[in-house]
Amino acid sequence: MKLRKMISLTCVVGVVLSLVACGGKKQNESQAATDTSSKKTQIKFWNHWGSETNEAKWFNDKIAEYEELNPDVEITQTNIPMEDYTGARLTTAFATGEGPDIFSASPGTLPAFTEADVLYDLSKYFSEDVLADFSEDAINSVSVDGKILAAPFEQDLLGLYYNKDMLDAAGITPPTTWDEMIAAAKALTTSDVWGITYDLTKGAYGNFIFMPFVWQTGGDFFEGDKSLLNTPEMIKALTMWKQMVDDGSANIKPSRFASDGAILAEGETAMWIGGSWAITQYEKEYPDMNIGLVPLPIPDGGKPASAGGGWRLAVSSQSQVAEQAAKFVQWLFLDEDPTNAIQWNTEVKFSYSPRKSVIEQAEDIYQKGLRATFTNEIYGTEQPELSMEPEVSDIIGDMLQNAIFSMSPEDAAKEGDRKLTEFFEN
Amino acid sequence: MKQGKEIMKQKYANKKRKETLTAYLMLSPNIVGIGIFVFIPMLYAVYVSFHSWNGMSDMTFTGVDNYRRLITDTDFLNSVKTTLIYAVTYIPLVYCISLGLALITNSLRGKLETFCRMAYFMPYSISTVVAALIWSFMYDPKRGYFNGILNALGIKSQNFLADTDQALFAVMAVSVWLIVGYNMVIFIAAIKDVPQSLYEAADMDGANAVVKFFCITLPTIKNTTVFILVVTTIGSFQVFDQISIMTGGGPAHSTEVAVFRIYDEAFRMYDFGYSSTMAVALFVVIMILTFIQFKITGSKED
Repeated sequence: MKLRKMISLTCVVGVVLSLVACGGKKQNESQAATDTSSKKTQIKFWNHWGSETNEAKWFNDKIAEYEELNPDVEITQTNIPMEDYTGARLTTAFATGEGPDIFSASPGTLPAFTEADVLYDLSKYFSEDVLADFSEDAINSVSVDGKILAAPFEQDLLGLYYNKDMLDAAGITPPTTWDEMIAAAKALTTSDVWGITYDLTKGAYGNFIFMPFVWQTGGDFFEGDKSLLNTPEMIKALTMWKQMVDDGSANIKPSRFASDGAILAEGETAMWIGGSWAITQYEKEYPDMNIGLVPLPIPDGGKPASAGGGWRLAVSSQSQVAEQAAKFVQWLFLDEDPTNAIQWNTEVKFSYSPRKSVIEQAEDIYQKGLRATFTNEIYGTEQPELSMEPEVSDIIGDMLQNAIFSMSPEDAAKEGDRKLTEFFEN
Repeated sequence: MKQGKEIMKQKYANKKRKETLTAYLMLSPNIVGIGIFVFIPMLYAVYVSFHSWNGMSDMTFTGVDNYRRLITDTDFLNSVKTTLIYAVTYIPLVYCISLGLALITNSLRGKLETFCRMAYFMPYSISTVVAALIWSFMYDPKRGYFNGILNALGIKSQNFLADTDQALFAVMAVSVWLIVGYNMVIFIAAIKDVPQSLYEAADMDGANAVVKFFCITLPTIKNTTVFILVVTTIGSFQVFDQISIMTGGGPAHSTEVAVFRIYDEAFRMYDFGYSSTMAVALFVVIMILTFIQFKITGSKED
């Protein structure tokens, strides 16, 4: 008995000691790491681009370039999957003071970060010339009380992509009006293929792709503190959005997030409301697919409209190295020389730079392939993605969900209007 | 003589004290762990529920404002309603299927019994995330396995996860599938503990299988029944992974159970204060329900 007790006691003590030792060792290791590199400034850069994407690889190249020019700086890029990134990751990091120094932010989340006061003022990193080079819309979208709180560097436009082969086989020409789009979607739906795909889940992206259709009718979501949800224009757009779901032509359960161009390229759908970000994906990964692009169809009596999204780079005000971090952001996209910006918008991916110099200098690229449609037919009709507080985004998301799944568009608009008015009054 | 007895008593008391001490020593890592990772965060959540906090900047004390908001919050009430619908369907379903599988498997012998036990238990070893993903594909309206079968039988394709009436039950099917094997094993152990002599006596009285089940098996495994019911109840309130992956609370809030609503409020609406308030309310609800359950089922000790 006594021997067994001794052996088991020794085992327990052994396990506990080894755990303590391991923990201690790890601490020593990390301490050593900070000791040797404490002479260098450590900058943490978090973003939502996948580690295998062109975007992430380009950032690594640029980081290496910058570190050569600035040997006292060390930058680490961390790529976080989209769902985590827009979910709990950033919030908890900031809450515990472990947030990154530089991070990507979308128009949908910027207001939350602004309210939380985690955005470092970047105004002084825009020289006069550079500031003039940026479009007014872009600067306004990231400014609060005259302070520039994030760096815009790309703008994605929305259009209607389609599978040329599928449309040809069905004898359909690409739609230019809402009625044509609804009819085409119906005709193109088969037992295997959805006529059209657009995001039907509740969230910032679902709101984003719905926005241009509202603007086409001449309506909007709100003006200052006034809700514009219970208007005939909004109801008209909601009705169209719901119609294709009721017809069974809208993809109610896409195999991947509805912003992924692969939905169209993999043959899951015949038409896809998507953005300019998909062009490089199609050219590199699906060069043999016949994919076409037209501007978003408009309602009778409506005007063409698209939406301009795009991520921004922000510097955390919690950061101990905010100045050095901001300098890197400036070198990347706010420099007098727009070479990096041109690379990003034309080689790494395809998007529109908010800087006029880029559009001018890269004119050739902007005419290549499907880009020509964006540049010649869609660019200029876009309004920037609406920036809104999370509560407003939630109300609009609910309105869409209700209109599609559980109420009539009229009731959904009325309910959304009631909630938005209530929110603005408080 | 008396002295001897006194010494014996002392020795016994010392031994008892040593055993108690050893027991506490063995329990202490667990208690410390639960204390740090469960109890203290719970108290902290109650603390946060009286504040307004977006998770990034400082908290501001708001008193009972959050609780006042809770009383008129239809969204939260709907999420509680959804949770109750889920629980009221899930608990009996899990109980009956687990017990049923246990009875069936127990009546088999040899390799067939071993195979059945393993097959039914296997889903438990899959992570909820993987299960949710696999079932999502099976539920796909156009290319999914289930609609394939329905179509072959001449039934129209269903929308499952995209249908406000079906989504909650579609998600529930995954949860049931994951847990019945585990409960089945527990039930099998309990059933095997029922003395054979009781069954033999019943046979002599000419009882059939149904009578034997309701009059012998069921009462004898009562403690296991209580355990399974309590654990299943608590589990039914905690479903999150499947909902997060398969529906995200949608379509139109039809799968938004209370736990998901709490998560959404914190991480999409950046309102940790109100989120904590809802969590406290949910905690109270579950505590009351568990208490009632114990009172109803567990009072008698045979």
